[in-house]
Amino acid sequence: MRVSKVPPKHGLQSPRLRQEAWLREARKTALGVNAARWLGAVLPVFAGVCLLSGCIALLWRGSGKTISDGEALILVSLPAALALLWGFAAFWRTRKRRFSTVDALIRLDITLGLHSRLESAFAGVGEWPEPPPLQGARVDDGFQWRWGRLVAPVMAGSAFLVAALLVPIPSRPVHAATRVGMPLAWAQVEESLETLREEELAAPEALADFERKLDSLRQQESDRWHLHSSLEAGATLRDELAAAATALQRQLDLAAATSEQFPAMRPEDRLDALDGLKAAALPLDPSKLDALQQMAAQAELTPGQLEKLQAALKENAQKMAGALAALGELPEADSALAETEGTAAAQDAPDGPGPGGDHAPLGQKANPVSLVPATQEALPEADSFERFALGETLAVTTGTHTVAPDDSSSTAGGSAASPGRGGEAVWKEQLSPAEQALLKRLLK
Amino acid sequence: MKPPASMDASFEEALANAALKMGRLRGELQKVLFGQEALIEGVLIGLLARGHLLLEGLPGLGKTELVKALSRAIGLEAKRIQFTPDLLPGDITGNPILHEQWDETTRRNRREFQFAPGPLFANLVLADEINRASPKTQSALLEAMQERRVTVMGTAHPLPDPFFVIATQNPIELEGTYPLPEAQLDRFLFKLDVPRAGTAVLERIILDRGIGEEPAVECVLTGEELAAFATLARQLHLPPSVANYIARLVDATHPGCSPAAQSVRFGASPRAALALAAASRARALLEGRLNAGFEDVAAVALPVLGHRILLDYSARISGQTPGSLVGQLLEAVPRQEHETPRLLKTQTA
Repeated sequence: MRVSKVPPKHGLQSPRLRQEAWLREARKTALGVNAARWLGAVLPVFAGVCLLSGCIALLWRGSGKTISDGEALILVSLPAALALLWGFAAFWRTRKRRFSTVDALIRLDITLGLHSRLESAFAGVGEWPEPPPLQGARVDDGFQWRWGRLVAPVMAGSAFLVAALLVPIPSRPVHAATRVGMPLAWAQVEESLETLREEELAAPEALADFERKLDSLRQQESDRWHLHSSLEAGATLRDELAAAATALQRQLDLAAATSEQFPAMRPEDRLDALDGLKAAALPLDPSKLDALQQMAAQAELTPGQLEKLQAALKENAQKMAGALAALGELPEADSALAETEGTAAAQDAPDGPGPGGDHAPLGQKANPVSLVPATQEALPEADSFERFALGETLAVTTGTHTVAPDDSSSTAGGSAASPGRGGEAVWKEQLSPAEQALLKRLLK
Repeated sequence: MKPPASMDASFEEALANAALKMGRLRGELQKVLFGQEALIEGVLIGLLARGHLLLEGLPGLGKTELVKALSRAIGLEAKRIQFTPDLLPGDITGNPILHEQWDETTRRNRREFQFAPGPLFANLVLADEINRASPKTQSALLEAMQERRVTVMGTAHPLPDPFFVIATQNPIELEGTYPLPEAQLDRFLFKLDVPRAGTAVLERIILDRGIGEEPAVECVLTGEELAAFATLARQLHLPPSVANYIARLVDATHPGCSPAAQSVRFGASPRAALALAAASRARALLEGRLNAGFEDVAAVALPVLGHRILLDYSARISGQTPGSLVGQLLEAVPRQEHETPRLLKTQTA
């Protein structure tokens, strides 16, 4: 460390002047060493607190919250304040081990090869030696700053903190991190809602209602997710969404089927035929409904317009089927069903049917027979009733079953409304992973 | 800060005089021993530190010649003992001799033992090939070196002052020898290796000397003056930082106290630390300085510590010697105890 300029030029005859010159150099050396020690104690703390503050800022911003100017100021000033406090503590703690002027004289003795003359002169033994000749050089105390070590912690810590505060972070769904480990029904509902939102099939308000319900489930403590009550609530929510989506899909199918007769219908009747799309538990997205209604409301429907209308209805119906698939395709359930079906297929193989013959009654099937009526027929006008014969289709209207649209209990003929959700469903949805593992061990 | 009372102008004068006369003595010895400046300086430091010296070297390198020249240059009484296996303790210390004398009062012959001093009773004793003597004889020398007295039949006989032992040993032909025990080695201030001379030195020897010729050596110093110089050397200032360096250096010779001393079996004793301090002061006096410094300690570290460090088998296998170990210690132990801040790098020790 070349901290000091060379003492006055040769020829300091006065011992006092020589002493002052050397002591001045020694004090500068001591100051440099003590400063290096102090910075060595403070800088790692500064860098560490910078990293900590940066991590806090990143976590804070990553959770979707914004950092105000005041909070940013606190995060920036915290490292400096803590480092200063630590520096004061270090300064106080090492006050007895500080590099003194005598230590600096010894250092100069060693570096300049003075045979301890400076230390001895300071102790009163012998005279102070002549300061080294000037020649434009400096008194070398043998120390050099390691600039890399000095600057790197400051720069790295500051850069990280500033980057954590300023670098844009893409917003992330809050629940994305919690998807792992959540019950299957929740994941299915979430995936289905995402599909519906992305495809803009359903009204956002209705989707938000479902999402709010799902969030209320997710906001529970994670150790309560797999309680029976929680699993049951998730399954019910999934069933509700499935029923609502199914109803909307049927309305779309119904509208597509009715649209064949649109050219012969009045505009008001066409609009009535489309009313079911907004009356469902999960109404169609308003923008799409408006577009359909605008096309249907035209006085004269050209074949091209009709074709376009039908294509839009079918496309939406297909998309809805995709969203439903997210709810209905349970990988584990499917595999269980596939096993059942595979057994049945093996039994039906042409090489030779296995024992057992045909499907057992009430067996689980991949495509269960729905007992909910596909269409609902109604008489448009009571006074025209007598003008039609029995068995003749009078009109097709839209609307959901008002009695029990999502009733999953047995209704008639002894067939289950929710086939495939017997023991397998209990196994998958009603039991927590720990309980499943315990039961597996027991069954083994 | 006031200077110590002893460090007045007369002290500085005496110091300058001592340095001058020791310089003359060095010149006289260099007339005898060519190309052995380091050896001569070691001998002079040993004399000023009042220490005993062990010279190790091959035959014919001038060890005996050096001692003879030294005795002539200082004007001290010098004696030479050739150590052999059959040498007895009494042969070096002296023996009581039965003396018969007529006693007038009792009118009969009176017999009594009278002590006949041995060759140890001299200012400068050259113990040639000391490792050839039996341990019993070596131990007799031990008391003389440490206590500077000889005890025979319960009577202590003080040795003359100054008293120096300069022993030699041959590093070859070790069959039938008795290597000096550690306790006795520790009594020697220095162990100095006498190196082989180079071609230029040999040429000078050939031109200036003949077999059997005694080189002329002038007496430049008296025994009293040498004793006074030794006293002066003891009064030289040893700065606390230098004393601290000596302590850390000696401590680092012990196994487990420094990475360099991993292959050390036994390290140096506190006597080694005292020897380092005395030798450093003596070297400062030779150079006419009022204080000893780090450079003095480093210069005398090898002859002081080399024979006091006992290495284990792993060091012998790896070819490490006490000399190389001392060199490593001098590099490993920083002269200043303060730890260098990690934000600074040092250019020097």
